[in-house]
Amino acid sequence: MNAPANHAVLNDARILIADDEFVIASDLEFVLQNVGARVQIAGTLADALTLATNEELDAALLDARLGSESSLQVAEALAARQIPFLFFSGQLLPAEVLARFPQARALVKPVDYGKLLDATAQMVRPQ
Amino acid sequence: MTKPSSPPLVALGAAAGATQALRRFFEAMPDEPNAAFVVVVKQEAASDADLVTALAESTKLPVTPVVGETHLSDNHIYVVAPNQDVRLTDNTIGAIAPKEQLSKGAPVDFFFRSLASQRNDGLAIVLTGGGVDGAIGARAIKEAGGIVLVQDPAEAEYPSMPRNAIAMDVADFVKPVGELAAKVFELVGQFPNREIEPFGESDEETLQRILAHVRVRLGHDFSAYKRATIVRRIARRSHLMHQNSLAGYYAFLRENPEEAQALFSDFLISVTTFFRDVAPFEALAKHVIPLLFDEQKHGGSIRVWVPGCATGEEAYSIGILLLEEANRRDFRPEIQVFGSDLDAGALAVAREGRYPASIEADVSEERLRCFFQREGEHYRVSRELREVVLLANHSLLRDPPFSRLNMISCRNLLIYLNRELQQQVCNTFHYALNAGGFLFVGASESADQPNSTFRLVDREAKIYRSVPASGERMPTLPILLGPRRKRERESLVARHVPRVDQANGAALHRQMLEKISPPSMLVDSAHRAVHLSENAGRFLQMSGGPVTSDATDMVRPELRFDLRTALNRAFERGEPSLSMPIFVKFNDSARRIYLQVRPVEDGDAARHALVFFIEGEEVDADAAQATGELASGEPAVETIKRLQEELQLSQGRLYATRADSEAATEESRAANEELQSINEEYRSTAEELETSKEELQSINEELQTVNNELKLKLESISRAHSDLQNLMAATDVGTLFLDTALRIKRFTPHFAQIFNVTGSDEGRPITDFTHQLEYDGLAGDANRVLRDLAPFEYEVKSRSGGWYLIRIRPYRTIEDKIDGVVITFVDITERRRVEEALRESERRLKQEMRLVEMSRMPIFVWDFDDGIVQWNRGSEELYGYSRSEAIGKRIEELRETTVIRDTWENVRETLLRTGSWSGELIQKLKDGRSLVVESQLELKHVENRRLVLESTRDITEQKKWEARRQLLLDELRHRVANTLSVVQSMARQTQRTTHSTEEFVRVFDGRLTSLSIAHNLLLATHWEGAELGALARGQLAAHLQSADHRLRIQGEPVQLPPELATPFALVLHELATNAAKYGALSSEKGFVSLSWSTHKNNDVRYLEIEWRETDGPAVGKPTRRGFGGQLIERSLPGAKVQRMFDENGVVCRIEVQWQEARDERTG
Repeated sequence: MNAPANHAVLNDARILIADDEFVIASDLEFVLQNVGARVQIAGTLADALTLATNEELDAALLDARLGSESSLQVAEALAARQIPFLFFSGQLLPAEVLARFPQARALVKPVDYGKLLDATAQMVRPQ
Repeated sequence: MTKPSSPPLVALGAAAGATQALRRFFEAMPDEPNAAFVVVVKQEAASDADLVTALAESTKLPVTPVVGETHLSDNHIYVVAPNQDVRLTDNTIGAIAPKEQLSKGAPVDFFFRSLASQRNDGLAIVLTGGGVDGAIGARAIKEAGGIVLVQDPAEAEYPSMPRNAIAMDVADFVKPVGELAAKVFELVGQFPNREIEPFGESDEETLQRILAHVRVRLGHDFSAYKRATIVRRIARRSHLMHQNSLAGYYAFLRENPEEAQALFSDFLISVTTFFRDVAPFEALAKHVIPLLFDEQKHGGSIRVWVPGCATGEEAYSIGILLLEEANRRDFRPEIQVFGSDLDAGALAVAREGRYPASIEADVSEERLRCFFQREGEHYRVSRELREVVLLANHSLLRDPPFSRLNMISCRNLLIYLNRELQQQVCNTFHYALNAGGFLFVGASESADQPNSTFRLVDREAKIYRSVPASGERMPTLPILLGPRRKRERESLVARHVPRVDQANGAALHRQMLEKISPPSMLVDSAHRAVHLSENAGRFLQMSGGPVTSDATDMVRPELRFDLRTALNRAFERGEPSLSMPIFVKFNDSARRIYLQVRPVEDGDAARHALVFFIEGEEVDADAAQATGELASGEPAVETIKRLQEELQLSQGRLYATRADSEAATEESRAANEELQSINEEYRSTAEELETSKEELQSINEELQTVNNELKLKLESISRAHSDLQNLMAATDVGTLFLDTALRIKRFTPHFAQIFNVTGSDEGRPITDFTHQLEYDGLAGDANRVLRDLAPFEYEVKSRSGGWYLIRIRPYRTIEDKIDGVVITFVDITERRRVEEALRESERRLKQEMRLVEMSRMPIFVWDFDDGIVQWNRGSEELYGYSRSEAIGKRIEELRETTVIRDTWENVRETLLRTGSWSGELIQKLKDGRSLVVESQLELKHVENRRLVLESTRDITEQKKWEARRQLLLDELRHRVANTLSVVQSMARQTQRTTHSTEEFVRVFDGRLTSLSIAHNLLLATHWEGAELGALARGQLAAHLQSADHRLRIQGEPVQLPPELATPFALVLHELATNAAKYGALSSEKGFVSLSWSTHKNNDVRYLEIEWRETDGPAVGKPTRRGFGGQLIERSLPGAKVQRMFDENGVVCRIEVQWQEARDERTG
């Protein structure tokens, strides 16, 4: 919860969280807001796609599935706009998905928030 | 006969096996035997050179082959070339040129006979050999006084020759070869003492004693036998018995009763052959036999007696001549030949009528064919001939003779008898013969007798004819020797009485005639007075000296001159004559006597003359005186006259004699010419024979080869025979040979275990025997096989539980003739048992195969290099191909196979290498579907084929389930991770909004319980969704317990998807918690209503839910937006949440897009 020095890059960073579990999404939102990021939450595929296509974003955290649907469409949209993103999911992602998005990292739930913040910071400002 | 300078001679005869036997003989012979040995071999097996070499190796004595004339000396062995005839002359043996060979293949016999004819001290040894050679020769040797030794047939390689020699009853010793040598040495050692000279008085006495001994013991008297023969035979016996003196032998004879018999046998030895001496027998056949038949033209029988016939050859020879004559004529009188002999042993041979084949030398081929039957090495007289000849044991000297005979043939018997006895025997013959009967004697014998009972018919052939007894005197039976003499005489006298009576009338007549006729005298051609008339006595006056029957010596001296002249005239010219008056001075007066001599024609020749004494007038004494005086003047004239007559007579005789002589000279010249031409003929014949000899030699060579071949054949046959014997004994197959009448011919030992037969049952019908089989049709089946000639097989059970295969086949001889049947009995008990077991196992295998065939499990077999072999029902069902479609097709053609992560080729390769493979395959079915199967392949080598057994299992369903399980697992993992994540986040959020640990625990516990209730509902529907009503009641349960009447839940059944169900549960939980804490449920009167409904708008279904609190305390808008509020407002994705804090209570409206999820969704 204490933001390390490098998490400072997240200050004012615009982050999309796409997760159909509101409890999780709001928790992440709190953590990211805590380090100064501006967070938007999408609980459905439609919301996430809208945000990913239209919003100015610095990075995105995608659950692999949204409701009953895959979040690949969102990933496509993000990749098309060259917005970095990472997957966090309750399961290992299929190899073909990972191969499709080589730059995207995949984190497995439950996520260590320190790691998540590190990874998000890495996306916002690559070192 | 024996020359003092001659060494003892030992003749050895042998044939097959000779070399071996001879070697052993000479090996056993001591160094100085002091004898000459002559070896004669009838054989071709070894050439003479071989024999000479072989013998030279086994003895120190010099061995010399006989070539041409060879002089014999001591301690030498002379080997005669095989089959060469040699003849002994003095002390020299000479090979006989082939053209003169007479032995007809019996060289041993020939030499033995030659030896016998030359010497009486020869030793003959008969050794091994096939055939009969040597037997007859040995007999000759023994007859001559020699000694015969024979190899023991049991030891001989070929026992035939020794056996035949022994059968001749001539062997003095029968011993093995080694002992023969010792015996010969011993016998030769006594050689100088052979001759016993019985001339001393004591010896003469001893000789008589010996003969007396034989007579007493055996009833035969040999005292009248010729002394020389008797002495020689006794000397031989005493030599054999090692007695050097006659006295010693006599003592030996008395001590050994059997010796008398042996000596007796020796006395009787005689040599006889068929047609012995050819010419006399020819003469007999030509001149005598026809006469015998002529005499019998009007019926009657021809009776011939052959005394001393020994082994019968002479009797059979005569029989042959008679039968031949009978065959030539068209009538056949009864023919009877009596053969008699003392020697019962010899007679037995004669009765048997079986003679060695060597009689070929004596009997012509035609006669052999007509009167003999060949029996191997022998000839047997034919039945016809045998029936003609009657043989009897009879002593010529002792027993009464046969009588009323037409002929007597007694050859070479008289020579053994002394003169006196010969005379007696001739008398016996004369008695026995009919008047005019013939007597046939041996070449060196004669029947000439003073009383002239026989007349010589043929001087060369020695044939005599019986002369009828003179006058009325009946023939009297001669004196017989021996004990039965008296009785015989009595009976004979009785027999002759009636004949005397018959003659009475004729005698009376003759007496009357004699009384009135002038005195007469019958004179025969020898001038002997045969008969006188009653009153002839006064003209006779015997002269001094020995009494004689000579007529001229009997008459008065005055008559003698005239009588002789007249007789000569009568006999030589056949003229009667009447003499001039002769003055004869009788006692009282002188008378003038005339002699009339008349030749008497008696049969064919004038052999008698009748002399009449005719008495003239009386001359008174004075006149006689005067005449006598006158005679002194007149005598000159009368004498001159008589002398003139005599001279004329002499001249006539001389003339006739000269004429005779000239004729004789002429004849002899002609004969000489004839002889010359004959000589020429002989010479050319000799040349021809020389050629023949060469031919014969080459034929001999060929025969030798053939003989060798035959020997080999024989060996192989005997080997085959012994093989057969062994086969018969060894075979476990019972075999039975039956003839066409089903009589047992032969069987194997095994057969005797099935049928109750023994070896002695051969020849009996098979139907006579009981057996172990449950089968009674053997005879019938065998007969059927004989009829149809088709083999027959039948399996039969034996009473002991075994089984036999009976096989009946016709018995075919090598000439392909059916001669019965062969029946084999093969024990097939074991085979039957195995067959039974096999059938059982086959049946079971079939059952098992059927089970496999019927199995639902696909199992099939395919040939690694070929098509499918088996295809069961499971395969049919799985793949859809019927068995007929599948069998024979290659497995790759039938169904397309994909190997997961490998290739079919590799599978085949693995199969070849390791013999098995198992794994999963994807196979296409007939209907085109693909199946995943688990397949098990096994490669088996079966009889050069590589068969693959494949069993498969359809695992398509299993695969599906596996995939589903994996999916579930993934889902579970995701959900757990998600849930944990949710719990994690919820814990943090709760922690942020609570102020104490107790509060945290209470709030968090409530939220967690709510979550858990929602999860439970979802699990109940396999996470497909949760019914809204149930969800709501679950969340509100805690509150309902206390205030269920203040809570109303109302709405159509709605199935919430999982992603909605969980947040909805939390929302309801927060709403209820808030209501209990601040709202309607916090007071006693408050009331909560939860209701929902659905509606459709633009094909999208919407769910509207309303939470309305009433009658509770007044609520205001919360001051702070806590986590609970956020949950209510934001946690439902895509939902519109409206919360109003009215005076009446909180109202919360939620509208959410909703579609009833039915398809399988996973989260």
